[in-house]
Amino acid sequence: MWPLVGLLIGIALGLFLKIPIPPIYAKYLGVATLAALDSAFGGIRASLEKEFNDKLFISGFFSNTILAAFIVYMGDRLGVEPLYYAAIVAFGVRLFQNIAAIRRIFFESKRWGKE
Amino acid sequence: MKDIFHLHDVYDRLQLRRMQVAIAIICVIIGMLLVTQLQIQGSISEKLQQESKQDLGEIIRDLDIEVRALQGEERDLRMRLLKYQNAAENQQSILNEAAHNLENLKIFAGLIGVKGEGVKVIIGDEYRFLNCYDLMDVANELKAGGAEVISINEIRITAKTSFVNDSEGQVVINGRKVTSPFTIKTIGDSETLSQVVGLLGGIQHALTSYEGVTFEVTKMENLEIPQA
Repeated sequence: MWPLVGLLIGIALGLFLKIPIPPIYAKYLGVATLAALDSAFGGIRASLEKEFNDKLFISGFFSNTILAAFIVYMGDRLGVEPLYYAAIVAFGVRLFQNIAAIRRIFFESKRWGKE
Repeated sequence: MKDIFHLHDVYDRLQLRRMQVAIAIICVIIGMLLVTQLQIQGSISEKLQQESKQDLGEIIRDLDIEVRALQGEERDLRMRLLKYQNAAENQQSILNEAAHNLENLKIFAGLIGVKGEGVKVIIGDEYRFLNCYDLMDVANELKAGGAEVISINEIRITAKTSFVNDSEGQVVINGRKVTSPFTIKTIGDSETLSQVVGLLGGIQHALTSYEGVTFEVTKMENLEIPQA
């Protein structure tokens, strides 16, 4: 419930503010968004596994996001643009794993529905 | 045992609240990121990266045309530069042309003597039928036929030459009496000039219809006509 509300508020804010970012940085922002999604799903998964730690979650979110953008940036600067794919693959795989884990927990336990 | 369960429950609820707030905050940020990213992609799609192949081809073509136009302009400018650089030479050539024109005008005015190929026409007039107008006709015909210089009995014919008949019917050119045979020297293309004189219905044809008038046309390799 809360995450959905947060997401909607974020979308509304984004639409309202129209943050002006030059198209050259679109790549960085894209990977950063992917990392952020991964962190969010990771957080949800952790909460379902009762291992949630909010400090870990928040710090993980920011460090992952910044690291992702930084990897892409480094790839560009070093002339190793495939580094971009490394970031995408790494976070993409984790994203899928997190979602899969959430699905498994959702179907295997009844705790979710009761609480 | 119940207490422990209860405690666990309270802890759980607290933990859940914190967790939900944290995830919600993160979700706010994710929402903003997503929207911003989507908007950027949308704006890019209007730009080069997402143009269709056809559009890209058109853009390249347009740029090609522009490049060609600019190259043409560059060529034009280079030509102009060259022209300006050659301005001095051009002025020299204008001067040369002016000198050439002056020469032609001098020839026409009879200020200088001329040498060259031409035609000599000797007109005999036994019974003195011919008057000044007939000679003027001959001169005009030759001039029209491309003669550069004409003289009649060594009198240079120019724009200022006068043809008069005196009271005895004698031809007077530039105040000098001229009598048969009239020797007309003319410089120009000898072939053309001899044809002009001998044309059917031309001057020779007209004048030889008078009794006693004879024409003798000779092509000359080297004629000399002095200044007037």
